[in-house]
Amino acid sequence: MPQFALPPQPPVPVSARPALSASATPLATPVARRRAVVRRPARMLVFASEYKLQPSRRVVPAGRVIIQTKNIGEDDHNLAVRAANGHVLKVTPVIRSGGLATLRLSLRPGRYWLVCTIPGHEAHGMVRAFIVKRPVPKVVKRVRKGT
Amino acid sequence: MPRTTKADLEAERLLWRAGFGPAPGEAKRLGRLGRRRAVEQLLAPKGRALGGRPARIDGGPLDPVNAYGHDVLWWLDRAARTRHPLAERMTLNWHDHFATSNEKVGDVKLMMRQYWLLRNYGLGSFRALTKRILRDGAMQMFLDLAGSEKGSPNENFARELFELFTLGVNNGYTERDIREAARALTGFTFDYDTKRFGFDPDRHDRGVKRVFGKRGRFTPEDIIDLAINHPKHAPYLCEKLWHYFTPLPVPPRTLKQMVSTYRRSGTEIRPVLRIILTHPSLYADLTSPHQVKPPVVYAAGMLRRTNTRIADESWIHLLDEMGQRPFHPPNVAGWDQDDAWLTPATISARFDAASMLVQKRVKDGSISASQSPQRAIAAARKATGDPQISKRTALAMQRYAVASVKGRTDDWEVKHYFPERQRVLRHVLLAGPDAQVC
Amino acid sequence: MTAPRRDGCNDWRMTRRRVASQAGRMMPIPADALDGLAEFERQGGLTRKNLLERGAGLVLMAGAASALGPRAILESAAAQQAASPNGAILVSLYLDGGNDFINTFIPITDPQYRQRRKRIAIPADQILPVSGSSEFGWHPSMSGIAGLYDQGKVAVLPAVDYAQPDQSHFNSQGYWQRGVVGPTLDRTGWLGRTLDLIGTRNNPLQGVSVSWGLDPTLIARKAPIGTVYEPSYFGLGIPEVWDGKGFTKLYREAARGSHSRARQAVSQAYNNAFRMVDMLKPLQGDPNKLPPTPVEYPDSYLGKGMRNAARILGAGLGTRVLSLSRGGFDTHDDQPDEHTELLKDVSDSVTAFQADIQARGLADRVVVMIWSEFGRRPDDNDGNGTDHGAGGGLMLVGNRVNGGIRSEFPGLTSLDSDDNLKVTTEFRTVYASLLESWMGVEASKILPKMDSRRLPLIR
Repeated sequence: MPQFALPPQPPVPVSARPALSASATPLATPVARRRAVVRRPARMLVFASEYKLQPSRRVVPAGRVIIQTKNIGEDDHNLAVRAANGHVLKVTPVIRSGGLATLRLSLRPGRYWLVCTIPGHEAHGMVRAFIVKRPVPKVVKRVRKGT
Repeated sequence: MPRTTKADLEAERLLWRAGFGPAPGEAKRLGRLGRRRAVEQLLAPKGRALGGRPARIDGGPLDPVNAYGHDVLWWLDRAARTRHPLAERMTLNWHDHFATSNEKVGDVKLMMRQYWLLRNYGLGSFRALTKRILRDGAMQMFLDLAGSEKGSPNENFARELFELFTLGVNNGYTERDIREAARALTGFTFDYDTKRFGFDPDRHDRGVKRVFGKRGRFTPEDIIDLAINHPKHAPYLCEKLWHYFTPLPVPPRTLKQMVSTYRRSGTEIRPVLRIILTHPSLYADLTSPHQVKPPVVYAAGMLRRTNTRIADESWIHLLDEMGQRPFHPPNVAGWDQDDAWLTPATISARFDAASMLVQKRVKDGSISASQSPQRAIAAARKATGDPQISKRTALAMQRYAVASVKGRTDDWEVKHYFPERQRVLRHVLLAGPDAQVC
Repeated sequence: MTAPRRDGCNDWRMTRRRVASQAGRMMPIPADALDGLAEFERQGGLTRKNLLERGAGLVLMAGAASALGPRAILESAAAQQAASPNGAILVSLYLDGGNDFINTFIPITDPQYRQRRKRIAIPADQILPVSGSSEFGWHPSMSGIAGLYDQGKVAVLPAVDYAQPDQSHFNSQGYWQRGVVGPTLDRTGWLGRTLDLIGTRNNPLQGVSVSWGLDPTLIARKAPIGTVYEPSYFGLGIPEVWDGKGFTKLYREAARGSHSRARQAVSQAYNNAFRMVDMLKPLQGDPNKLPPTPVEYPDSYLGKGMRNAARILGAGLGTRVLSLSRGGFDTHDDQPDEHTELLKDVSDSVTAFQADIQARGLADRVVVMIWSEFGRRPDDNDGNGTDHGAGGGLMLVGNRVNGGIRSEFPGLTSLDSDDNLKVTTEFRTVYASLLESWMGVEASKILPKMDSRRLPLIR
């Protein structure tokens, strides 16, 4: 049953209905309507469960990336992106069973790791490498400021 | 408005039950062929599989593998744009029959591979289809077939193979048959790192098993054959297929006919569907439909009727709230059909789905005060693919079309309420009680 | 290493089941209670007349020819009340994740307690006493529930689970929700089936899932079930459409008349959805401006949910079953802080709820059942947490509850083969006892293959 704040009238549009997933962030990534070609962020979807991470891809083009993590396991998990030097770039909050979390980052070419940083989980196998590659020149971002 | 003929109504019924409802004009076209030829066309579709404009989210195409929820949109998009309605609908039916959920598999690529398996082989031989399902990665993960090995066989797949896929609950097998079959089904492997599925003869139990009273060193494929050759299989499957198309009981003679056709053809699905889809029962009570549209059919149907492309991720949540997310059946038994689709929560999600197709379509100020109630209704019918409605609804619409603008004569009122009337009329044609059944 | 162990489903073994007692059946003797409407008046400072007027305003909005006027709405609720005068109400509160019952209701005199829980045992000086028992003590966060226990309003049932407990959340949850142990293709929940039996086809609020998605415990075959977390704003609307009365009337007219069975079911679903909107209308308003309650609810998801549950009950809508849940009990690590917070939320919410319904005159009609899918391992782990165990525990709260310890605690010395607490009581025995002695329905009609064991849980 939809439950939305009903002002006397008119009602709130459907799109304002509460998102179902735990931390579903709006996915809208506005595309600049300039003449220049702006690459939309690359996407990656990771399924987390006991004790594995299943990323949807191994190679991602450099630049903006949206990584969504869906917890299909029974226990709590999270997802961190770790650079080759061991530095954690970003980490989601704890994702409860059934929950979804989104990370947005900008990545340079190189090797990175996806890990669940909940104690013990990495050692049990919740770690995966992925590679960020220079994008093919054709889709290189060339947005001119102004004009 | 051109009067609808019985042939139109039959074609419309056929397109809802054996597809995702008519696109504008489609029922008329199909109706002209007559029942038999219409069914033949559905059974052997030709030409491009998809029409219309593909879904677009945030200015880009769907990315089902890498973006959460796009798998659901991808399925809905194919259903809404299909030009091979029966093949597409059977894919959904087989997905219900061989229910596999990504909630456990966690790999959209594997799920889509299973989709293609069901789509490509769903009208052919059931034996071949089931043998492919046996080797399907998503299924192997979902029912723990991958990794089941000699010494500690996992019984999940064996149980569901008998209970749901081929024979029916407690219908001609014992617990022991399940245990023995599970032994024969050992040996499948999967490596998470390489994502490779395989079969390792060393992990396969090569001993003698006893299934349905027969003894032998059965292989996994032998188990499929044993189940499909079981005398209880054909009636079970034929009746189950029947009920995907109608909730009315199958007449015993028809069941017999389906069973013998199925067996004679060597487990071919098409001839069974031909019997069902040409059966008078399917066309009974054309103006008082028996079937509650499954949510995917309902949603795809409204997109087809209004010629709308998917452009909004809300469809993911709407399908979820309506109770049917493709790739995410509630359990291995698939979805509960018919009345089970309807709860206060699911019906209001169905109500909201229509809002998606009504909002931002009719601008304030776009309709003049001179539009008569009849013209308003005609316009709404046209915009929604001229669906069949009951007399009760027609009457209620007429009353509403008059009352909703009565006394609204100020400029601002005309500007808003005449378009509002149009929005509401379209809404009830898309989501009203008549629109929920077929 | 916190090696959170997964499903011991391959190596479980039969645990011995000892049943604490076998009590004869008791039927509820409901005390006189004000009917819900009268209470609503007190709560919202509205008079019955006011309510009718508000309802009348609503019907004007919904259209004069609407199938259901305010009177009809009130009467439909009243009819349900009448069908089960002062009908008993059951509130299910699920602690999602597996509550550590050993640290909730603590076996203080068991020498193994401090042995096995070197890292997370609750310091003796912080444990709250359990009146009448020297063997147990309450977690320090549980002062509210401990107080209710002292008043005889809480039954505690340790070591409740099922034989051969399976330590998977999914499986155990499913068994508890469905009231069926083992795999089944039936998706209905035991409380949903209860409503199929005692409910009607046209009161969508006889069972309310106080949540954003329907609680599986409440999935019914026929009975419509409402899903309402926040009744303050609840409605069906069409974007860019201002005249709600107009489209509501149109929809309701379209839903009338006799048709095929399928079409009839659709009409029923629509009527129930619109009816639900109407029934909840008296509760509409700003949720931040509700009148104060005798005891303040925690400002948490559960606290608000419990408060909303009390409001729905107070509105007298014929509600017989409500369900709520609180997540986060899967305390594999850093348990002490987390568990303290979780139990405080639960105890404070339930205590505020109890005072609230007492003030509304409903307390004699309501029992709250607090449960979890399993307990946790007696031995703590080196992440300062506990892993999935067996033999969790249940608590029942209410004026009519037969307060005290109502199941056997097997002790921490002799464990089952998985080093888990031995299960002494099957959860279905608790369900069956409540169904028969509280809800007044025959348990075997709801719980398949139910034996005859019952517990004296209701006074």
